[in-house]
Amino acid sequence: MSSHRFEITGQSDFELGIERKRSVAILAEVPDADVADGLVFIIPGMGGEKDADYSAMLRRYISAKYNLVAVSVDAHCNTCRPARSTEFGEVDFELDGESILDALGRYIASGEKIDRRLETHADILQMLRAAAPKQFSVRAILNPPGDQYQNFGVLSALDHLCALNALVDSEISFDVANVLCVGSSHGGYVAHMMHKFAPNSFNGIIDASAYCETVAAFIDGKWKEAHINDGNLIYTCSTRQAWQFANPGLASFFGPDRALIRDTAYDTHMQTVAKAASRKCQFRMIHSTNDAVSSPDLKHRQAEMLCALGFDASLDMINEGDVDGKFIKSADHGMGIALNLLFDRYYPTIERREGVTDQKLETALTFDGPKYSYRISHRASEIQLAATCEARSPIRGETVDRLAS
Amino acid sequence: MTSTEETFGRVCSVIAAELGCAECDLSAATTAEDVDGWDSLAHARLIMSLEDHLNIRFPGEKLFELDCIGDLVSLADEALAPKKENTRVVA
Repeated sequence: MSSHRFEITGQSDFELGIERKRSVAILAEVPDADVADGLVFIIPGMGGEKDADYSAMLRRYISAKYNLVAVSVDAHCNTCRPARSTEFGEVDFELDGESILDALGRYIASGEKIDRRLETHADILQMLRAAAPKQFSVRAILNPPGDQYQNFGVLSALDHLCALNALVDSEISFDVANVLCVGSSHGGYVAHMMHKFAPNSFNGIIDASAYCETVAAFIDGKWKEAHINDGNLIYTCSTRQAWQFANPGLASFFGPDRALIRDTAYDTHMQTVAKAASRKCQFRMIHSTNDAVSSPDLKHRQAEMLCALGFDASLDMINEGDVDGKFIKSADHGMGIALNLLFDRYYPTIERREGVTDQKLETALTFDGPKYSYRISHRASEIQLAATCEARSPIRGETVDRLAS
Repeated sequence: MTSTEETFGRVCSVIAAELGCAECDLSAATTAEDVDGWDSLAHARLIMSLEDHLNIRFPGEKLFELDCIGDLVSLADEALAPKKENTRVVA
């Protein structure tokens, strides 16, 4: 088994016109066999599974056990939570000064005395800590490394597809008919989006608790994305944002088009995907009926739609009674399912089916929204993947059922 | 002292250092569930640390299939065996 590291150029943000400053690192664990049985992208959610040791171990495990090239990609905004150890750089934790003053106000209102000279925010935080067990909430911005921001999946999916092209072109030999993704939560969501943009390239997608659409709390900058406890201080966090919700006249407005391209259960777009797919991908999904982040109803609809479109899709819906403490540790979002166990459970249910990558097929896809047309073009030439977003004329009488619902 | 006993001592020493538990509380039958903080992330850290300290590499396919400290010791012994044989030849 051998470990490889590549770097490729990241996809520019074609929606917002922002160039990428940071290259995209690819880490691949390659089994000893002359030709691996396939390749799997391991795509963690936003939480602890990004831990460097855990990720490295997971790649080694999957590569050795299944004779697959196991790959992690430092795709756009991949690292957006503080972690004990990271493979791709640290998240900068920027405290919001106004909220520290708000917390000071609550400290005084609670009857506590100011017992020290307060010259800096750090002085205030130290005094708040000393008032434990009283709890104080402070807002924080999570700044991903390399001036990245929360794009919510599109750039991440494109980066992974470019990584696939780079790996196909590399000296690593693997069965290109058996390319898979495994991911939980946001990772599973990115996996579905990769399939949306490259319908022929994937033999299987395995997800746990993957949402089907943008989680508004993660992009509206209203500090509801994550809560991080630091003793009696509770940081309510939001990843750095580039979208805005106030001015529809600006390209940075997160309107219906932005939402629809990020929707992996929007039937109109998925019909386009199904038509372009010469081989239908196999989806293995598991979700909880208690999931408060990712709608169980929408997940049901996604599974039904995928089946109706001819994909080989299965969805295991679990509830409190299915918690076994080993595979399923809770009925909440993510279900506490470790990625190694997720892969162990579902990979054996996926059969190898003949297929070639979208790069080789030079697949071209157009996804229309009310205002913009998104075009994804795979090419065998030098620029292998092009994504554009151009204004379009609305078709008379066209409705966007998905948004209406 | 047999090689297994020696390996057991070295493994327990690393576990105690990584997880902040008492070495004397650990036995071959101790599982991750018996030790506070031995979750999947700590397990990964522990495996990497053991590989560093013992200068071995565990087989990839076994990394998540270690149920107790005894399993870790057996696997570490297997990984150490060729090194020990080589050491004898050289000596």
